[in-house]
Amino acid sequence: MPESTFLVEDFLEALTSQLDRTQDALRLKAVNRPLTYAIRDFSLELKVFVEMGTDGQVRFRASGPNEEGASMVQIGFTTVTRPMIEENTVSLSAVKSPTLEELGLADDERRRLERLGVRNAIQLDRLGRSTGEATVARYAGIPVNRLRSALQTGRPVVRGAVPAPAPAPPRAPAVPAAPEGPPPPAAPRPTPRPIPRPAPRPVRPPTAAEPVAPPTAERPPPVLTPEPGPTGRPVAGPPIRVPGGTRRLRIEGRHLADSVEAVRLEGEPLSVEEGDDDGIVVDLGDDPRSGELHIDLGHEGVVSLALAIEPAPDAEMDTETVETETEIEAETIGADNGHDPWRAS
Amino acid sequence: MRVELADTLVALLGGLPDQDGHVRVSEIDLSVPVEVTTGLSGGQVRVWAHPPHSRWRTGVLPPVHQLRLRVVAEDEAGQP
Repeated sequence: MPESTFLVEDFLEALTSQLDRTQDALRLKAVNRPLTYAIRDFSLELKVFVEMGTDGQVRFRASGPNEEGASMVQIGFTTVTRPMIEENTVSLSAVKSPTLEELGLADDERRRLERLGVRNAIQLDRLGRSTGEATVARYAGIPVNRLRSALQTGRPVVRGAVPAPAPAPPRAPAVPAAPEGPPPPAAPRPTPRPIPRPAPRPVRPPTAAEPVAPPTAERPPPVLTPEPGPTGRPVAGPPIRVPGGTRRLRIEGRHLADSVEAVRLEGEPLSVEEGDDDGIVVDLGDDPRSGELHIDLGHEGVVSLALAIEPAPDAEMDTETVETETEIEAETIGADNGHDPWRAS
Repeated sequence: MRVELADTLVALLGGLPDQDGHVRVSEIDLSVPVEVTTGLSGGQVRVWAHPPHSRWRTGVLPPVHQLRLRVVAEDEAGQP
């Protein structure tokens, strides 16, 4: 493998990986031995040549045979406890924020901000709020409008809402096979009862005086007017219509999973079931009603959407089915009794 | 042949005396000369470190670096 330059952080990560492997091997040995050894401190005096890359990053190159003038770097590692790690590292919630690369910043802009301790959108926003955007722009050497554009890119956005499909039901556990034995005697099959068939209905051809009835037209959906919200202010934008019986609603947007603090429908809190960077899914409950949907984005404010629940189509279909069955039953009874329903009375 | 740093450390620690006898070792400080080489393997930086090939100064072998290791004896609960 040819020698090459490498970043300082990559070299330290490689050393850490080797030490972790060593600790794992010692841990395995401790399974069968009551007393074993553990590495407490590790240090390496390394002769390297330090170079500065064209990207402004410091790189190491291990010295080769018969090379003089190498620098001496002493790298030390020690064991730390979990509380020490938690005190000295960034919280995981800050790590979930969009990175500087996702905000659209160039590599050199990103490195200049990293020198100020900024690695993601939350840290950039916090620094801008505490010191001012102009100060951050001056120290980072980035134009103010460029910083504002990057911050705007990282802010959460709500685009709309659509019904979400129900999650896949969990697979039923496999039923154990029945114990082997003689098969039970088969039950006698009942003789099928003849099903009476209704008499065919004669079709009258359309006459010139009577226009042909058009096919069944769909009933126009009822127009719903969203009720004013609890604040009394009208909600901007057309209402979002969802069919009746919708249980889950997907709120679509950008950077929502980590920004949404609460979702309420007419003041009633809704549970957030799942979410990703493009949206979240909320549970509307058993009997949702139309009204104002509030999405709390924390310090970014509250977004309001008008939600209109349309009546369930199943109730209308059941009524029509019952009516059809009643007609067939009436005709069947008439045929069985010898009454000809088509004979003019 | 190059040996990874982890394998060298495991071999070093494997050569330490077991705690079966009447004399118990509580702590060991090791200072070991090693030849260190680095390179890319699988897209990641890898570190190879192993005892030097020879004690002679040949001018063609990699330079020798110093590795210091402090090892403590621990029981099953991780207590010294």
